[in-house]
Amino acid sequence: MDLAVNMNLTKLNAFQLKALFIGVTLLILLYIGWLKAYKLQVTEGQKLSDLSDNRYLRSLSYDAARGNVYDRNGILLATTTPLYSIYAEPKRLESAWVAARKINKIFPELKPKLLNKLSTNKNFVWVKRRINAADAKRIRDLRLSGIGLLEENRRHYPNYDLASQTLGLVNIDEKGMAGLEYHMDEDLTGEAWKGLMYQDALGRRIHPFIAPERTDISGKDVHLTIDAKLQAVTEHHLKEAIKKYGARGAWAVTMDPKTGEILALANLPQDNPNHPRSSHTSFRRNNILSAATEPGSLIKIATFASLIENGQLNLEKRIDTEQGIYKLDEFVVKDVSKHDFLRPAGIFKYSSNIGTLKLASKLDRKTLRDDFLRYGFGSAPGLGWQEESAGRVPQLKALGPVEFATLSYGYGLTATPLQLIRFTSAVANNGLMPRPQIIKSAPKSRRVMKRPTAKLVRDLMAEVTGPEGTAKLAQIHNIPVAGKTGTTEKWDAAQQKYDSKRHMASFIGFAPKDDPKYVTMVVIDEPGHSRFGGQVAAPVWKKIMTYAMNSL
Amino acid sequence: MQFDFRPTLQFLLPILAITIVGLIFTGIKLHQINIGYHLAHLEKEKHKLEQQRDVMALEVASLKNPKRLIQMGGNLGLKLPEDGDIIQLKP
Repeated sequence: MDLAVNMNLTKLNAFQLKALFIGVTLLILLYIGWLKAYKLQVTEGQKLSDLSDNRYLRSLSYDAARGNVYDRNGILLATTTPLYSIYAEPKRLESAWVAARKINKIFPELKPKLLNKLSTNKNFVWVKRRINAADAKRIRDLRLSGIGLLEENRRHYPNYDLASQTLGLVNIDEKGMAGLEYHMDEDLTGEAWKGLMYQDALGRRIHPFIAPERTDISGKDVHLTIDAKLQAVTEHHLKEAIKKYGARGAWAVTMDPKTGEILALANLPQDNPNHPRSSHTSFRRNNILSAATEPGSLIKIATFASLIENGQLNLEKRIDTEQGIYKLDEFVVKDVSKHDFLRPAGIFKYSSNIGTLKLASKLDRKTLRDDFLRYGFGSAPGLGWQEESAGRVPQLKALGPVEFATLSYGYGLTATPLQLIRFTSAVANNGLMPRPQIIKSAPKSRRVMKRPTAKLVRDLMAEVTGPEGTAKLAQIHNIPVAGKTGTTEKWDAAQQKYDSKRHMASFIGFAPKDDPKYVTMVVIDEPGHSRFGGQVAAPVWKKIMTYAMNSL
Repeated sequence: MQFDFRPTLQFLLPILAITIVGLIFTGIKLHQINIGYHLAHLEKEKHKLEQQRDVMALEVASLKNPKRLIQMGGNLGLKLPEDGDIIQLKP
């Protein structure tokens, strides 16, 4: 066999020999190549792959943007945009002096301290927090080693102080601290995204096809029932009223009585949540939800509803209102306007405390108290927000003759504007009391009085805005309205008595009277020039309701 | 005398085929890396554009701020309609 091969080889010519030599050489090279490839891919493959990943695979994380907040018509109320912060790694700086000089050209205000900051022996220092994208680009273009940029999110409220107490605010870490931002924090906060990305020697990123998609990491958007335009108009009129009457503050709330949707909720003075440290914390208080005060004559709506519901209101019977002064044991009850005999409609129209307590005396204490509780007083209205107050209805055993009398015309119990507007919405909505809502959801309501009762109360309330009523300034051209005024003296906790110089003037009403579309309540806190709800709050109510009826 | 290449070809062809397959595989990998670069670049660009969109939406919302518009209208001598200023026309 070997002999035969040798024989054949000797028979080959020079060209054939060369071809054979090249072929064999190529084969050997290929073999070596394959051996090397086998070693790289199979024998040491995993180890080398891990080494490569360690070198080039980068773990990335993105802070999820907080969800946006919109009004009922899609107007943006709160959003999050990126800002940048400049940091330095002083140990990595080639020259602190050069870096400081270049950065100072962009931010001259940093000049006094920057060089000292950059000359320290620390591993990390902040140079400047929260700069905009344009300034960030200028810093990036400097290409300074040891100087870097971190992207951060920042909450913005494009309408500044509009509905500020409702929207609330977030802290520097984008965590909800008050209002909607706090209440909806879990929904608004997105999930931080984490993934892997290859990065080459030049720092360029390569999509590894193994990272999860970045969609839907942002927080959920929230759509409110608030109408931003009505809110703006409301705040505008409240601001004017504060100025006109020299008041301490003013609040207003508008509700759709059928659905319980809150269309405007304003508390003045207010804070700009974009710069939360710039004003006093009390400006962030949402009084509509939290300020449980004595409602005064506004509660007469509930007292009369209870009287009608229990068949104790004879509309024809005349009651002696004692010319405005009545002594109950040692307690003196006064009316603002002096009358002698009045029918119930007159008592309601002139807001007679004496007439109301005499009418209420036909009810037993438990019945009136239970009805007040059924009308939603003494329990949180159901928004579920932390600042929501339940108010207070006195215990049955605490209701002596005087306490029962004062309860009937609105002293000795406390209620928030939200509770009062919810109850008035029941009157407007034929006895069905809606659950208030500020975030759009399915409406819910429960019956708290019979339909005829609600109608009769509406008729009584229409008298208040009539030519002889206490709120004739609330009349709107061509639109029948109904409402009730309230004027309460504020309790002076230090003196332990009512302060005859500090009042709360209020008006609550709805329009149109027979098929109400909107219920609005206005409270003017400590008006300086005038104190009556019909003179101070009713004109503001009229302006807000005029806008709502004509423009929404 | 003719040299018989067939045995050599029989040996070389599979190796050649494997080499070609290897080259194609490498080419695909290279292409994948290039697409990876492109995708990463596009993703960065998308992120940047989304941020720009959000900043612009914020600016638009600030300009449309209803309270600001009421104030600007007031400066121009305009006022919100009061009772009696609006006449509803019946169809």
